[in-house]
Amino acid sequence: MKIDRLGENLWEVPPSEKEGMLVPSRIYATEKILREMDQGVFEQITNVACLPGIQQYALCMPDGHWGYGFPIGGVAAFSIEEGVISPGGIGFDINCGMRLIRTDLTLREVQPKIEHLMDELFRNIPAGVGARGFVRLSRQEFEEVMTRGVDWCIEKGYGWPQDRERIEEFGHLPGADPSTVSERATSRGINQLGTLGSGNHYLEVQVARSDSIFDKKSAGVFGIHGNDQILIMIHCGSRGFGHQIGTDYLQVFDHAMKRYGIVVKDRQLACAPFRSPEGQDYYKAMLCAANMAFANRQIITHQVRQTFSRAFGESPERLGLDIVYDVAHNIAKVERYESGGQERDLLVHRKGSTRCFGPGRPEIPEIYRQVGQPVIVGGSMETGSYLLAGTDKAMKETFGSTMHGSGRTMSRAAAKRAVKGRELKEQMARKGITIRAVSLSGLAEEAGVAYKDISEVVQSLDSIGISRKIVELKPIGNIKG
Amino acid sequence: MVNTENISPRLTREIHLESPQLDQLLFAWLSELIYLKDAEILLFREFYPTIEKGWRLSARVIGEEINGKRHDLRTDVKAVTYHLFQLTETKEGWTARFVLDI
Repeated sequence: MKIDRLGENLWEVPPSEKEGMLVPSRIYATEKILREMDQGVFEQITNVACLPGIQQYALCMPDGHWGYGFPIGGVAAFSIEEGVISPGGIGFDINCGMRLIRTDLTLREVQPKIEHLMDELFRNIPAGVGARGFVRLSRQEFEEVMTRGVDWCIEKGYGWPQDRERIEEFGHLPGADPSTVSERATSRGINQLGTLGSGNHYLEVQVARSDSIFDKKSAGVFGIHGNDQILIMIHCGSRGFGHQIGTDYLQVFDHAMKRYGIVVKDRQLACAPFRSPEGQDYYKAMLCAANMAFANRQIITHQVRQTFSRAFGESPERLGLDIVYDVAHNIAKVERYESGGQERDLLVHRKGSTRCFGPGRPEIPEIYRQVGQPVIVGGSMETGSYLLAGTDKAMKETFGSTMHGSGRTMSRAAAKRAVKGRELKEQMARKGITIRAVSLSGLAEEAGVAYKDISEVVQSLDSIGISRKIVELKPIGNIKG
Repeated sequence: MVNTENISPRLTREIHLESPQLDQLLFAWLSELIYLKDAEILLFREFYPTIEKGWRLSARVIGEEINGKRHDLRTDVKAVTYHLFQLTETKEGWTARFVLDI
C-alpha cells in the first residue's frame, strides 16, 4: 500500500490505493511508530474511508492498532444528512473513558499506607467477572441514569455539585432514549454501576513529581502542583450495558444494511444512515450507555473519596479530592466543523481516541477555558500516564481529536507467554508499584511489554501541536479486574 | 473465562433463539451465554443445543452462579464480534471461527 509523507509525523494513503475509498486515510505517527504498526491498521483505516458520507479523511492516531471494523485510535466524521453511524466506529464499550482525580496528599503521606489503601480500594470497588455494584436501582432509576448520567448521581449523594463541569459534556449527553435500549442490555447493566470491569480497565494511584510537569502554569490551572502530589486515575466504561447495546445494534445493522444499499468491506463495519430509524435508535441507545458510563465513573469516584477519607481520617473535601477531568474515548458526537467550505454539523466517531478541544471553546469549563481541554491518556501499568491539553490545531486538523493511550503491540495470548502474572506482580512491587488483581493471568496480559512506549506516542503529537504535554504521572498502586 | 471443571451442575436454563441465517444464529447463541453471565451472574459447564432448519436453536445449559472463591476466574468475555466471523460446512461437519471481545 502506498503511503505518502504529508509532513512531520503525518502520513496519507491516497484513495487510489483501494477501490471504494471516498477520501484519503491519514495516520499520525513518527516513522518508527508507523513502521511498527500492525498491517491491520492500514487495512481497516482504508476500509473506513469507504463508508458513505465520510468527510475529508479517515484518521488514525499514533496509538493505533487493529480493532473490530475501525482500528483503535480511529477517528471519522460523517455528514449528518448523508452519512452513517457505525457501532464499530465507537466500540462495544461505549464511553470507555478516563477520569483523573487530584488530591492534596503527597507521596510521603501515602507511601507508608499504600498496602492498606490498595486493599481498601480493591475491597470497595468491585472488579472482574461477575462483579456486582453496591448501588441497588429499580428499572425506573436505571432509566434516569441513562437519561441524566452524573446529575442523577449528584442528586443521590454520589458526587459534589462542582463535579459536573469537570466532566466532558457535564457528565450527561442530552437526547438519550431508554425506549431504544433492549431489556437484555438493561438486565446486563443494572447491577454493574460502580464496578471497574476487567481486561485493560483499572484504577491507579499515581504521583506527579515536580520534574514531570512540562507546563507549570497550565498544570496549576488543572489543580496539579507537583511536589510528589498524589492523584487517582480511573479507566472504565459502560460495562455489560454498553457491550449489549453494541451487540444488539450490530445485529440490527447487519440485517438492515441491504435495505439501504450499503455494502461494507468488513462485517464489523455494519452501519446505517444516521438519519434512518435504525441509525437514530442506535444513536439514542448509545447516548444512554454514554451517560451510564459517566455515572459509573462517578460512583467509583464516590467510593474512592470514601476510601481515602477513612484511610487518612479527613473528609474528602479536606483532602482536596476534586475531579480534574473526565473524558470519553469510545463515542460518537455531533460537533461543528468546517467541511467543504462551510461550517457544518458532523457526526464524529472516536474509537480509542479522545476529544481534544482547544482554548476558548465554550464546551470547556470556564475554569480551564484559557488553557484548553484536559485530555487524560493512559499508558501501561508499568510506565505511567499523561495529562495533556487540547489545541486549536486539533480543531483544524483532526476533528478536535487526539490519542487515548499507548496502544497494544502484542496480543493477550502473546503477553501471557512472555510474562507470568505472579512474577510480574513481584517485579512491580520491587519497582514501588503495589498491585491488586482479580486475575493473575489478566495481569500478565496487561504487562508493559504488551504496549507501545507512551512517551513516544505522546511526543509524536506534542511535537506537531495536536495535543500539549502538561504532566507525566507515575503509578504507585494499581487495581485490575 | 473459567475452568469449567470447577463449575457445579446446580441449575439449568432453557434457551430458545431464532434467526434467518445460521451464522447469525451462532452469533445470537454465543451472545446469549455472555448475556446470562452478566445479567444472572451465571457460568455453565454443559451445553445441549438442538438446531432446526429455518433457523431455530433450543438448548439446555447447566451450571451455577459465579463464585469468586470457588471458581478460578480468568478473562471476562464481553461480546462476540463479526471480525473474521466465519461458519463453514465441511465433510466432517461444521467449522466456525469467531473473535471474542475481552
